[in-house]
Amino acid sequence: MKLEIQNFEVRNIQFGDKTEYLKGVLFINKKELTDLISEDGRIKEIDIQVAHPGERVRITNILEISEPRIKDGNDDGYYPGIFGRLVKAGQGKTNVLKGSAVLEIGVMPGFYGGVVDMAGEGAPLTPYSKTHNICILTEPTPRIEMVEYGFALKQAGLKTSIYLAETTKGMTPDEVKVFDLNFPLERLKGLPKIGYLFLLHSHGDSREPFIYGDNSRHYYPTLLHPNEILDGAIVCGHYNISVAIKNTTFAILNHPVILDLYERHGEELNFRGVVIAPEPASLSEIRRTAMMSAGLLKDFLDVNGIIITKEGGGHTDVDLMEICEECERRGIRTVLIDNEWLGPDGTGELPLLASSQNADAMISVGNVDGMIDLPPMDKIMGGHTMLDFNGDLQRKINLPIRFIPNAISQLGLTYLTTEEE
Amino acid sequence: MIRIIHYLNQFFGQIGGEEKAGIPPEVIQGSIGPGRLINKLMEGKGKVIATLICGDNYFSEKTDEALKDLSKWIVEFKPDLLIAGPAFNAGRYGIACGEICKRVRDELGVPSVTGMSPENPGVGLYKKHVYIIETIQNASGMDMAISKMIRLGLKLVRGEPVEKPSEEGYIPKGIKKNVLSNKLASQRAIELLIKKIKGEPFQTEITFPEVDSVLPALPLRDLRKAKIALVTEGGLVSKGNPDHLESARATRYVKCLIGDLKRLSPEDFQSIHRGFDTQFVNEDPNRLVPLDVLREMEEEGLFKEIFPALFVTTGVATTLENGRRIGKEIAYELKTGGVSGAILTAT
Repeated sequence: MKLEIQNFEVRNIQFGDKTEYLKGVLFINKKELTDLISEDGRIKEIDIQVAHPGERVRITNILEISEPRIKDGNDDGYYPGIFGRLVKAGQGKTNVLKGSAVLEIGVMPGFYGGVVDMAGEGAPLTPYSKTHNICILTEPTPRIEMVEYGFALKQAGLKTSIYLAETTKGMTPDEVKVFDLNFPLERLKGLPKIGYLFLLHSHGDSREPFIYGDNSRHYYPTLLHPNEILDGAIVCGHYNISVAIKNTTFAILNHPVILDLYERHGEELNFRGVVIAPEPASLSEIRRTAMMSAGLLKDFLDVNGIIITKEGGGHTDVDLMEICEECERRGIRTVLIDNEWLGPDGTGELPLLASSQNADAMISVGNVDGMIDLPPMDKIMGGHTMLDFNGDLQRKINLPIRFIPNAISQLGLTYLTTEEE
Repeated sequence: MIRIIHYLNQFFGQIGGEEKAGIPPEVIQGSIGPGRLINKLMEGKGKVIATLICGDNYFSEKTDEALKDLSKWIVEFKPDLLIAGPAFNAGRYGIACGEICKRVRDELGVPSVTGMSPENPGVGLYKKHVYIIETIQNASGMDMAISKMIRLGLKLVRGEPVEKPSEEGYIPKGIKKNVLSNKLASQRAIELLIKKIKGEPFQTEITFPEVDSVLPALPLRDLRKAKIALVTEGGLVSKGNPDHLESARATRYVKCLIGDLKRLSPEDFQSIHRGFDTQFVNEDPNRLVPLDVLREMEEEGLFKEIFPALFVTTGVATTLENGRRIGKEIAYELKTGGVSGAILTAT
C-alpha cells in the first residue's frame, strides 16, 4: 500500500473574494465558508477568525483541531465513512495544506475547552502555535444535547478542512512524501521487528474516536495499515475530556509514533504494522482485548517489540498495564507512553492509577496536574472566559497545563516530560 | 567571605558517646571535628564561624526547647549557610539535621544542606523540604560527603541553579517538574525500545512507588446487629453542591445527611464527578449509592440500621497523599459513629 502525501505549504491566510490557494497564501471567502457551516441547524452565531504564529493572540474554548486535506485525482473527499465516501484510506494521493489547522471553538457545559497562545511562554507547549489557525467560532442552538453539539462541531470542522483543501486539487505540491512499507527483504534482514499498538478510548459518545465512521467501542482489536491512520481512517470524537491529553484529529493524521517508525524503517528497524484496540469498561473485556491484541502482534505481525500508547484518563492505565503484561508474557518487549498525575506541585507519589513490574520502560509526556504562568495577550479569540476557569483570559493567568491542546500528548506529539528534583 | 554555621551531635562534637546523648544545646566559636574539613575544602572562600552541638536524645525529646536555643544563636551569628552533619545512618541525628535545616531555611531564610545515607529515617521525613546529600552508612564517607555538601551549599548561597539530583549527589526530593525535552516523546520511545530489545541498559521515565497493601477487616460476626454506612468516591452531593466538593482532584470529603430517606432522589442529589459519564447516576443516584436496596434489607432485618449520613469524595486525579488522609478521616468518623461495616462504591 502506497500513500503520497502532497504538501502545499501555507505561509499566510487572508480573507478574500474567492477561496483559493495562491503561492503559499490561502485566501478564504468568509461568507461562503460561513454559509456552508450554517447549513447545520445545530450550531449558530458562526464566525471565522484567523490567528498566525508569533501573534500575541490567545485562542480559547478550543474543542477540536483538524488539518485541511483532500484526496487528489478522484472525488472521494476525505475522512472516509464519517464524511467522505467509505473507501479504504491510505493509498493514492492526498493533498494537505501544511502549516494550517482548523479549530472548532464553542462553549458547552460538560465539554473541556482549550487555550492556545500564538506567542509567549505557552507557545512552545503546543504544536498549534506553529500553524496558521482557521478558528470556527460557534454557539450551540438552545436546548441542544451535548453529544449532538459535538457531532455538529465535528461536521463543521471536517467540512471546513475539506472545503479549504479543495483549492489545491490538481496543483503541483511543494513537497511529496511517500509512505510505503514494502522494502526489499535484504534491506530489512536482521533489523528488530517493531509494531505499534494504538489504544483508542471507548467510553461512550464524546469520549471515543471514530474509525471509518464507527465508534471505537464497536471494534475488537484489529490490524490497520499505518497509512490508513495517516490518511483519515481515524477521527477524534472527544469533547468530554481535557484537550491536553485527547488525541485531536490533527495529531492522529500527523501521528508522531507512526511517522518516526516510518523514518527509521529499513534503517534501524523493521516497521511491521499497527494494531488498534478499544479500551473497554470492565476488567474481563480489558483482559480479552489484551489477549487478542498480543495475539495479532505476535502471531500475525511477528514483532520483537512494540510501542503502546493509550488514550484517556486514569481508568485506561489499567488497559495499558494489562496489555503490557500480556505482551511481555508472550515475549514482546514493550515501551509505554503515558502522562503522570502528580498534583499541581509535582509532589504526588503515585504517577499512574495502575502499575506493573513489566512496565519497566516508560516515556513520560508530563504531569497533567502541572500549572503554567502565561503573560497577558493583545487579543482574545473564542471568548474572555471559560467554564472551568476563573478570571479574564486576556490577562496574565496561571493556567493548568491540561488546558493546552496536546501539551500532554498521549501519542507523543510533545516535548514535555518530567524531571525529578 | 561566606559565614557558615555547622550543626553536630554530641558524638561528632567530641563531647561523648551515647552516655552524653542527653546534653542540651551548646555553642562553640569556630570549628570542631568535621568542621575543620569544611574550612579546609572552602579554600578561603568561607569558614565555620560557630559550631552548634546538641545531644541526640535531648533534641528528639525536647525538640521545641532545643530549637529555641539553636535559632537564637543562629540569628546572632548572621550566617550565610547552615551545614548539618553529615549524619550517615544515625537516625536521631538525621532527624535533628533535617529539622534544623528546614527551620533555618523556612524561618530565617538561610540556605541549608545536610547529608545522610538513604535508609536514615530523616530522609523520608525531610527530603521534600531540604537538600540531603546522599552518603554511605558510616563516617568513612566523611570527605566525599562534606565536599558535595560544600559544592551544593555554595550554589545555594550564590543563588546559582542547582543541577539534577544525580549530578549534585543529593537525594531526590520526590518532586517532579514539567520540563521540555529536546526530543519528541515518540522519538524517545522508539530509542528506548531499540535499547530494550538489544539488551542494552535503559532508563525508564516513570517509576512506581511501593504501594501499601491493606489487610481487609475480619467479617462481621453478627450482621443482624450491624450498623452499615455508605461511602463513595463518586462525587454524589446534595443538589447544587452546597459544600463545594471539588469535581476532581479532591482534597476533602463531605458528609451528606440522609436521615431516614427511603431512596436518593434525582431532585435532591447529583454527581459532580468529572471522571465518568454522570448521566445515569443523575437519573437515579441509587445506582451509585444503593440506599434503596439497603433500606429494603434494613426492613427485612438483615442488619440493624443504616448510618444516617453518606461519606462522599471525588476520586479522579486525587493524589495518593490526599486519598490516604481522606480515607483515614472517614474511617475515624465511622469508627467513632459506631459503624460496624461500610459499603464503598467506586466509579
